[in-house]
Parts: sequence; C-alpha cells; structure tokens
Amino acid sequence: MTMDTTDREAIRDLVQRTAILLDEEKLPDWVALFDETGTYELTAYSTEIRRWMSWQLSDREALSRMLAEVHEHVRDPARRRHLVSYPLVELAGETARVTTHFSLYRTTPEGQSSLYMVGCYQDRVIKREGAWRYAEHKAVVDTRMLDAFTHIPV
Amino acid sequence: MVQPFKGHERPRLPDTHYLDNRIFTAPAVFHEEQERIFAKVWLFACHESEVAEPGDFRCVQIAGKSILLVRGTDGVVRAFHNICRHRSAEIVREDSGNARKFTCFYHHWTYGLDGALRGVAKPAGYEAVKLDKSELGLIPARCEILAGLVFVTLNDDAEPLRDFLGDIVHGFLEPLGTIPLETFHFHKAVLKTNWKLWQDNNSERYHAMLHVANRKTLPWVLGATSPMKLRIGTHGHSGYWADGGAALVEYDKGGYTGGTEGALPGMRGDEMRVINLFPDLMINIRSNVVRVDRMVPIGPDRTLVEWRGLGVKGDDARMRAIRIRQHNLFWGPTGRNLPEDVLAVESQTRAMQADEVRYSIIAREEDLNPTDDANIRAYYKEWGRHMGYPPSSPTPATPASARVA
Repeated sequence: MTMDTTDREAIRDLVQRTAILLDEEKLPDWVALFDETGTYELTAYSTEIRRWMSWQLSDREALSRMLAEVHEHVRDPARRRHLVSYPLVELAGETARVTTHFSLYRTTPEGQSSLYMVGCYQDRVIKREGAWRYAEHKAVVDTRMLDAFTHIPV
Repeated sequence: MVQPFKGHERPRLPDTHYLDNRIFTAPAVFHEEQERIFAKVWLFACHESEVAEPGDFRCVQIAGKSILLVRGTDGVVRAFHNICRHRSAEIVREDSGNARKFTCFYHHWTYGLDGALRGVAKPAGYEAVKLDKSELGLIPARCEILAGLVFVTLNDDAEPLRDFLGDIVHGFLEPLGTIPLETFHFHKAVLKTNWKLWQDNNSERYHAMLHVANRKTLPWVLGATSPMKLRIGTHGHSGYWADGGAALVEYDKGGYTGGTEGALPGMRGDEMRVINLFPDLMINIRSNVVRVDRMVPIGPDRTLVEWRGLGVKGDDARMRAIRIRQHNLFWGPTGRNLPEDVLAVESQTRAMQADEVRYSIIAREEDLNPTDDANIRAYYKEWGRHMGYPPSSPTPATPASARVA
C-alpha cells in the first residue's frame, strides 16, 4: 500500500471508531481522538431566524469536563447508534478534510427504534506522530426537531 | 362499602394548593384552553430582531392560527392572519424571509407589506361584480412590542399589552429593553407533554435539585433561603430575582467559566432572573445571555416548544462566542439542564394519563423563597379565572360542553 492509501484508510478508521466509541459511551477514548487543540462543534441552520447556529462548541478540555459529569445527570435511557457513510477524504499532506454523512438512531430500553438525527460530519484531521486526530470535528445537522435531548455529543 | 381508590383521594390541603391532573390530560380542557386563554390573551410571537428590516417577515402559530408578522417600509411591525382573501390558501409558506410584497402562490393575488390587497390576477374578470380591493386586505391581528418582544393577540378587546403584563416587566425591561438584542439561537421540539407542565417546570424552582449544574452553582437549591425572591405579578405572571446581596450563581463551584463577562444592563455578573408570563412564556436571564421559551400547544399530550437564545446585537466574535457557550452549556440541545427537564415533564404525562394519582401538590409556602409554590398558585388562579372553574376541580362546576370525560 502506498502512504496515501494507508493514510486514507487510517482516516476512515478514525471516522468509524469515533461513531463506535460514542455509541458505546467510551467517552474518554472518544475525547482522545481529538488533537490537543481540537474542537467539537454541533451546528444547524435555522430557517426561522435565517442564520447558522452553534449548538455546542467545545475544546478538548471542555469536552472532558462535560463528559466527566455525564454520570451525574438524569439521562435519557435510550441508546443511540450511528450509521456513517463511506467518508470522502481530501488528503493534503499531513492534514485532510473529511466529509461523512451520518444518521443516528435512538432505541428505547423497550426496544423501540426511531431515527433521531441526520447530518454530515465536516471534519478537519491532522496527523501527529503517526496518528490521525481531529483538529475540527463538526456535526452539521439537518434534523432540528429533536426527540429526547442528549447529554453526550452526536 | 366500596372504598374510593386511594390515588383519587383529594389531598387534605386548601383547594388552591393542589391541581386535578386531568387539566393536563383531558381533551375537553385542552380545547377550552385554546378558546378561553390562547385566543384571548397576549402571546409572545417572536423577537423583534427576527423582523429587523423592512420586508422581513416571520410566520408563527398563535392559538392554532397561522399568523404573519411583517415589518413595513414605515418600520412598523404588523400581524396578519396568513390567509389569502381569495380562496384561503396560505400567503406565506416559509418560516421567515424578506419580501417587497406577498403574492399568493395559488392564484397570484398580491398584498403589500401593510396587508392591503394591491392586485389580483386577470382583474377584468371581477369588473362585472365591481370587486373592491380596499375591503379585501389581509385580516389584521393586534401586535405590540415591549423590550424587543413581539406579542400578538387575536382578541380585539384585549387590554393594552403593557396593562396585561403589569409590574412584572420590571424584571426584564432593563436587560432586554435598553440595548438592542438579537436572536442567535433557535431550536424546537415536540415534547410528549402538556404545555402547562413545561410552563410549570419553567416556573417552579423546587425542581432545581434535579440538575447537577444547579446543585453545584445555586447555593439555595439545597439551602433554606435565597437572596432571590419570587415576585408575584398580576394576571398570573411571576418571576424571581434578587435586589443585590450575596452571590447568586456560583459558577466557579461548578467549574464553569465565562458566565459573568458581558452582563446585560442592570444585571450583575453572577445574577440570574427568571420571568414567567402567563400563559406560556419564560424569560430566563443568566447575566450575559437570555433564553426565551415559547409554547405552541398541539394536543393534551403534545407541545411544540421553541427555545430562543438572545445576545447583544453588534457583539464582536469573541463576546458572541462567550454568550453562545454560556447559553449552550445549560440550555442547548446537548446542554446540562434541558434534557433533564424534558425527561421530567414527559414522565409526568405518561403517569398522569394512567390517572392512578389524580392530584398534584403545589403547597410549598416559604416566604417567597425560590422554592415556594406561590407563583404556581397565582398562575393557576389566573388559569381558573379564564377557564371558569378551578384547576383543583375541573369537573363539578364545568359547563356540559367542557366537562372532563
């Protein structure tokens, strides 16, 4: 395999791992996928106020603090599962832009599933010491009418 | 002798201190609320910044009606029923936008920003009946603005907005009304609950202990007293805020930063105020950012809630980011508090539908400390005044048409 192909595969693995870690709520491992100065953002466009909105923008430290508190919350008992599309990787040396569509399903403890959210990850990743990490992990969501809200990112 | 089901026994309390849960579940009550409350009083529609420029419009649901709000070329915001006078199609089918005129998509009748019918397609066809365009403008609704908040009423006989709101406006006039604010956040959800349960959740502070963020940062949550006091207004409006004194929100104790910079006029950096307007609006101010909740009742067990975040118009990028972060931390869709509130009110509705426990208790009396229920009692007194029966007994005194099944 060429280096280019190896990097693309590593980036695609990163995207898959991100979804799986979040679904399994291995939250410190999920945070570890971010570069030291990496950020997570959840954004949507409002047709009501005609502007883009940031529903969450957190750096790695804020994510860690927020997710460490998750167990103290009263939470939606449903579990969530991501289905992510084949990522489009635009490689530029040690950085890349990655576009991945996703859907997020919500399943209640009784086993009833519903589509929770549809969107697109528009990510910027960076390679440091041989590992690809998020410089910017951005979820641009189409779904704005949400069922039960969540204490963890999407 | 058959014993009454224990869960249906009335609490041994004054009848002002408990509610019959069927006011949250009965379809007849829900329909009466639409007629007797939502069609009668002033209702928040949107923030003025959402119709900032001439031609800007917003479409909102008010008491089950589609209402078009538009700023005219004269700068005045007007409200109209969003229905073409020709064959009753909706004039506007978007949530918002900017227009120079409104043309009905169906048969191309055209209205000005002032609601006047400006033109009809193929006018020669109406010459025989001498159609008078001046009589066929959009149907207006009353619209007034206070502190940037745009209110509408469908009741031509309603008192002026300022009279309806009364003195409770002193809780928000300065922070919301003395510098231009704008809506930077909007999200909505259909909650599986009755609209009043969301308003109750927004009004009663006793549940603050539900939130880990509040337990850590609001010393009064588990304590006896608070520098913040309930304010009971007229017409069921209420609020709580302090007149100074000890720290009010101790963000540091929760490990939260950025909550105190850029406080709105009249607000301390560690201050929090909540104003609940009858019937369906909450204004929650965390010193540098404002949350506004509006409810659109859909059915007894379904409520569309709109959440707005307001910041200062003209903020630089850094200050806006601070306000957004502070807003989202507690109130965003992935925030600390909102998901817990939603779980609570949906849980109530599931349980109330089973009618196993018929009454809810609103009996706390604590000299107007925030966890006093005095504001809830004042709210339901006003509710009962409109409905014609008390919320503790929606059955016996109720007219046949409105009786709880």
